[in-house]
Amino acid sequence: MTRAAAGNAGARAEARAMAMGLAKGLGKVTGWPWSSGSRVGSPVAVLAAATLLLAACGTDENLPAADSAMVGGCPSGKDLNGAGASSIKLAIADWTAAYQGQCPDIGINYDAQGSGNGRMQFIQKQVPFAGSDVPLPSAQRGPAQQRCAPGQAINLPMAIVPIAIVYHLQGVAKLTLTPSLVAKIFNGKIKQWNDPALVAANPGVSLPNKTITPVHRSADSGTSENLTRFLAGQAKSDWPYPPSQAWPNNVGPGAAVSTNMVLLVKQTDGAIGYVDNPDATSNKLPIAAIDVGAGPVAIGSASIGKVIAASEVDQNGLDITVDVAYGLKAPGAYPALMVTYLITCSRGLPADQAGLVKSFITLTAGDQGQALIAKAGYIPLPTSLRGQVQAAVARLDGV
Amino acid sequence: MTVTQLVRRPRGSSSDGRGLLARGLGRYVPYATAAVVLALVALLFAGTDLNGMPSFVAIAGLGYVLAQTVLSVVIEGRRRAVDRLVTALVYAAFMAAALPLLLICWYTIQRGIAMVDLTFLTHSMFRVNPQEHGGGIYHAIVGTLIQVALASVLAAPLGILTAIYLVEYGMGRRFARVVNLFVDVMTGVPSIVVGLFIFTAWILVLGFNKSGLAGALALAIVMLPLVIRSAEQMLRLVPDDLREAAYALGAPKWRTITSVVLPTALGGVVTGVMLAVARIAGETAPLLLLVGINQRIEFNPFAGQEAQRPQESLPTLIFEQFGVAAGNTDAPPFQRAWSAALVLIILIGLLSLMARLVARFARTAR
Amino acid sequence: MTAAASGVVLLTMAAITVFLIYRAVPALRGNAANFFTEQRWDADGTPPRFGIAAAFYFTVLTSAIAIVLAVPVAVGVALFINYYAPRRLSSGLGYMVELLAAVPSIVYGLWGFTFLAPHLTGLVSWLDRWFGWTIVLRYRPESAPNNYSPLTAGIVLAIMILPIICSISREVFQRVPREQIEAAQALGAYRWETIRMAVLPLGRAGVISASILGLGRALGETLAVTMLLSTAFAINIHFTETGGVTFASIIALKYGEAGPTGTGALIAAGLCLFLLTLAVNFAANVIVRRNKVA
Repeated sequence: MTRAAAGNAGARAEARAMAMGLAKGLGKVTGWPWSSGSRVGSPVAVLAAATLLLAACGTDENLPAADSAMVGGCPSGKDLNGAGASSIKLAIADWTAAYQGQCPDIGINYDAQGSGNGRMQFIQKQVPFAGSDVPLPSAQRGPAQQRCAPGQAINLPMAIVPIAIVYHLQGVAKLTLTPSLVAKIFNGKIKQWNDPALVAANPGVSLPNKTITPVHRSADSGTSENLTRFLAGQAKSDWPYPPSQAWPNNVGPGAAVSTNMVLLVKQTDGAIGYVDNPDATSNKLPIAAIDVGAGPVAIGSASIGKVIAASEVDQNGLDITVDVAYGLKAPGAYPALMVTYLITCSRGLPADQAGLVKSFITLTAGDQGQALIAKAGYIPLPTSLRGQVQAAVARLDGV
Repeated sequence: MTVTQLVRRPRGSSSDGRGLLARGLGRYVPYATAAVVLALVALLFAGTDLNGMPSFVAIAGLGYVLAQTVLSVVIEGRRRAVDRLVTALVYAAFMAAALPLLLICWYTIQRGIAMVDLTFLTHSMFRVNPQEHGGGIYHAIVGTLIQVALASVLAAPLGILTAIYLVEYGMGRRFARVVNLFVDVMTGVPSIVVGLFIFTAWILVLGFNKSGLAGALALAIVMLPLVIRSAEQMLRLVPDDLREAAYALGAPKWRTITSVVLPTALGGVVTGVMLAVARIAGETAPLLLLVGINQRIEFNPFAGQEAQRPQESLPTLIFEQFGVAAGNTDAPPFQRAWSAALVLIILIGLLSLMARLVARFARTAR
Repeated sequence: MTAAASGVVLLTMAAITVFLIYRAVPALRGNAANFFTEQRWDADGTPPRFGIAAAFYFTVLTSAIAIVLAVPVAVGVALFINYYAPRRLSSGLGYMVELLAAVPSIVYGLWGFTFLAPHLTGLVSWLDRWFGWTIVLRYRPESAPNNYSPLTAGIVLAIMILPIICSISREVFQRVPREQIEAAQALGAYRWETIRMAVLPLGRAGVISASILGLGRALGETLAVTMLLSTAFAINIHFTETGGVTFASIIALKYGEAGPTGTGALIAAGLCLFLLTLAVNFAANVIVRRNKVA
């Protein structure tokens, strides 16, 4: 019998005991004749019985437990919980599958409710690591350090998420936009697809006489924040707003989360929006190429790598942050992107959690882990940055 | 003979309800009217730029009701005409409600049915990449059942007792008035605010972890006003004659309540509780804050950070899977979410059915 | 015992109230804009600027649309199930309606988003054609590409709250004393007259109470409205045009990324909703009392 099976049997016994306890508690209430408790209690008792019944037939055994020969340093027992940015939810899913290929008894749960939510849960000691589309903001540095005392709260770049400008335009399979055109479209300055400025940027493409429906994210999001940084960096004159996670204007309809954004763009001929590249990839949405001054550039590891190479990387202890060169105008660069971080403690996590975090992050930052997520539409960290991150991970406190 | 039956057949057994009035629209007049109206509307559509099935149905229906009312006023008199008009309106209301509700059910079934099978119902998502096929929602079903049961155990007795207090003891007391006011206000606290409250009080201040229990606490608070208000309504409708009869027999107040008032109102109270259960079972927002996610089966609602395995629930699973799909309607997570929604609805249906049977059984057993 | 239970309910409520005020006040103090007239919501900016003007307007608007649509239909359905439908069907129908209260709000939201809204174009063009002169119902297709509008949100809310209003009304109607109905029939009343004379007067308080429960859900509904409103923090008097935000949807939209001030501001939004419900309840109580006197 594997350990998992034994755990399962244990869980069942526990459930039985619980259901009995529940029934006993109800018994007390039911002993009281014609009371409210007995009326409402009965269905609940039946429910408890049903749960008991159900307990006998459910299983976690979706894959045969892997051979433990593969297992190098699998921490034992507990599961790893994380929370944060939804931009890396697909990467985490792939990493988890890879991790469980080696350590089949460890569950990894990532609660993708947004970067801010993840950082808050991290600071409040609900989770040992958080995913975030921006490094810890200065206001949260202090509380995060406190949480990690005596260690240091650190940002580790873990994946590069290009931001894809997606559109839906019947008969147009190829579209090129300059940053200033993107700004003008999302600003409501350009209203028609056959606007002369758009036609000029797309020689050889016949753009229809159709209204543009620019869709923005209405929930605060890291994607909005990084896109507005890009717009402010590239086309200051056409984009007067400061970068912010809340979309700054009321032009066009808003879509709450990326699910809505994708559905809205798919449903509406003439719509244009922006999503994380993995979401555009999985939906096979057409993506506009960006022209920062030297011709159209598509998303790819070369075009993204150029931007990272031009960006400043700050290292402070184990803390690594990338100051992305959003304003980069070099030929062949695609500067609409975000660097998504895993935030954790260098030291100071409870021992079992520290081991789990270290072993998981070792996989995610490893060459294999990075190569794994390219298929989903992420860009692996370029070699030099990756080396820095791997060195930092190796120095993390843990098993 | 129940009240319902009495109203349903107000006068004799004549199907067109002609009763004592000699003059009336005969058996065939409604059909004739319908035919004429249909023909006229068809002509109207042919002659003008009106088109489309929905507007045809709407205009024809309106025309029929109008024609019927006019005919009825002329032949049968105003009272009968009003009765016929209201009958038509009531049928129309039913149709207006049934259509969207059927559409939602159909939509959910159509999208959800494909993935529901034994594996889906008995497996968790542990070691399954959510982007791919496989796995199931057993862990979420278990979580939802336990959390809803916990919430009900907390809220139902509390709510019913409060309702009894308000109806039987409270009469005009200041305390009862205050309670009443607060219950009203409670109906207006959005569930997400309840979630924030429990998060701050239970997790941040008291230092507990995210767990099934934390979710159940929030659900109980959402459920309370629903239980209180519906139970209160049902208790108020118990005729005072019954109470007086019990008092006349020398029964003390508590005895009257437990053996006369509550049994009489039982069916309604159970309906109220079940409605509240149905309402909270699909509640998503507070659970997102409080319950956390877990791919594994976890029976213990008290398990939280300590065991590293908080309980999953169906609504959070649905939300999570929609998130993973990110609008890709062909992806497995998208289908999984709809299937989970379908299972949730069926689950509540079974619970509700069970509660009704139990209530009926309890009533007849006495 | 029962008083103790009431005490617990009261304590819970008091705790929530105190908590809301305690968390909301610091954020409100730091607010650089007028909380009641500002339409935008930038609570984490420097300085924080946020206000509830838009949220108040759209919360009231969508809930009003929902109640206006749902209450007559729900009462009609309750009457239909109790008094008009074939007897064999009626308990099954009642059960079905209850079941629909269980559909999770995210499913209503997605159904509304992917199915209903795109299918409403016919309705809104028709409304525009006949009622465009009211200005509020004027419709320009380019300003609401898929009808994600307060009207659509109101319709979906109406569908969501219908089961709750209908089920409770039905239970209330069923408990009208038999003597009253017999008396009405002895007078030779038709079905509708019996209902009007015997059923509705006794059921009215119950229907109002049920509507308040429904309204409570409509006011506080989060996920479905967030999806369907396609948020804009600006008041728009056209019901059929894109945009809008409610108290609950602000919380859902901003919670994920909110900082300390932001969270306080969101709780202030919750507090407003709380006060709004209080006001509505007062109004309802006054109506009920007046009806009893009359």
